Amino acid sequence: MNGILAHELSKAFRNRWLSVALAIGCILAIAAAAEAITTVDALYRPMSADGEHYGLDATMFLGLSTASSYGNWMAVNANVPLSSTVFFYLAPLLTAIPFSWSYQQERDSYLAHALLRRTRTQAYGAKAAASFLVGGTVVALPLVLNFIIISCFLPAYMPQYNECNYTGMFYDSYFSWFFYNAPLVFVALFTLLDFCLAGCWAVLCLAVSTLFRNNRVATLVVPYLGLLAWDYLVPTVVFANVQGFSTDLIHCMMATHFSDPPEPLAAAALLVALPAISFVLFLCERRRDVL
Amino acid sequence: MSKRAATRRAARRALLLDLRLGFSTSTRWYALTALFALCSIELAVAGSDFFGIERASLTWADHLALFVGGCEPYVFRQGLIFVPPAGWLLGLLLLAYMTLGYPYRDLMGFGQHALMRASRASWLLSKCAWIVLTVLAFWAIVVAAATVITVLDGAPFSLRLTQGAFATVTGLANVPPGGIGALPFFAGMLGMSVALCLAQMTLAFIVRPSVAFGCLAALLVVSAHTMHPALLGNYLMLARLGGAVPGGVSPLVGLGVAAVLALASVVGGLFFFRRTDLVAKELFA
Repeated sequence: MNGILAHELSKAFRNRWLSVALAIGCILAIAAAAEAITTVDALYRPMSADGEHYGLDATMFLGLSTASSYGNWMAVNANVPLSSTVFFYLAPLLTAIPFSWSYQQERDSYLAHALLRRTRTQAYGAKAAASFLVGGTVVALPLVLNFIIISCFLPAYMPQYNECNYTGMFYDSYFSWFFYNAPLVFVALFTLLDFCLAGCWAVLCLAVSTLFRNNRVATLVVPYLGLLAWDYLVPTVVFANVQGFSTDLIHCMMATHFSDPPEPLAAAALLVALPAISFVLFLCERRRDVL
Repeated sequence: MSKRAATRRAARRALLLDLRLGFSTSTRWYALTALFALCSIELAVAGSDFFGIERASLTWADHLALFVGGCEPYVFRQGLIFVPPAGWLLGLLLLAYMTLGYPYRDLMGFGQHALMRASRASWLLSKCAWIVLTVLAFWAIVVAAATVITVLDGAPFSLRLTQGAFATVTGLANVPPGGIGALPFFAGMLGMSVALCLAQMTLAFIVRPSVAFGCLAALLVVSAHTMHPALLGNYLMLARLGGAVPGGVSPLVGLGVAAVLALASVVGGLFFFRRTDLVAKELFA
């Protein structure tokens, strides 16, 4: 198992499409950082003109959560840079680009030979693990990069709960206790959450690819369309009277929300449901002839 | 038969084959489009009750336009994130997907054989024709869905867009009592969707289909965020219609931009296509 896992990881991480997906994600992360920094500067420059400063020159502590690095991190998005919205809406595509196509491409070649030496469980498990790690990396690395850039320009003020309307982080938002008490831990936890959600999505795309024959475009795009359909129809039709239960992957990856903050149960449900669906699809694929 | 006549004959046969193959492999997607159009228009029209608008007062044009209702441009407020309209995004990306896969797959498959008999230009023009027809078929299905719901609602068959339709998607519109003509908006919408699909195809050949699709998705998200004539998704949204919404985009300008974009996509595609090494091109999405 170790040999095939190492080989799959090597293929996944030495893949030029990982570089492409990471490059796109990092460009959006840098753009989001630039937008947030310029917005903060534009918002607080008049204050500087009046003699009030922020950062190291602050003469009094104004509790500027929305001027802090934590408030302007991509996932929190207090000053709502457009690039971060584009990033999260493209994230399901970006996570699938590096490795989710590999099963379909290798089914008739490499995988057919690998299955002579390994069981299907080992082969599929190795692919799923590699896909999970690569998918998570595509989302986590830009988030980390964005936080590092933001931190170079904006002060690390402790977020203040009395400014929750401006940050969008309410008491029932994900990890909000950490945001207001240990914000660096919040950044780490939320990055880990997004890593896991993105990884699970990449595994789902890999599993969905077993349904298509020689159609790599469908492998990448059809799950994304399904996700948008879920985002559109489920809140409107199924959960119309249930506030807060957002099972939309894209919004679970964002710390702040449009209306009511979602239940933590929703993200947990996704972390269970996505691998479960993938497992069922792989189970069905086990019964099919590889050749 | 002269060589030119043989080439023309091969090109005609390639076009007919494209039409047959391209449409036969997309039957499920047309069925899905019909289902989605019915759901989307019904949900939008049902939502009009919330704004105190009677369903029967919405015209046929309103029903059709609500498929691409969209949302108001985002107004910055700290802590209030921007959420693109999911139904609008899904409808347009569904169209984008339907025109995405077939040209590239054909290029990597049977098309390489066809290119030995027909010229590259005729192959590409055949794909462009297929895309135009696919877009027309998509909108014909949406029109049919709007017609069904109009009949069921007992609404008038009018080509006027009323205040009721705008009120469902934006609070900014100011429409005269008689409504405004819908034909310019529909023409602009049709033209822009054809142009964007052609541009997506060209980009798919130059880069990759998935990257082209991602670029289109990003453009639509940005267009939903900001109302600006340069953001082409605005021409595909009722909530940004000039003449009804202050600062809205003109559909006739959109039609002009679409024509230029379509021409640029075809010419650019021809230029790239004639020079690219097709044999070495990787079959990868």
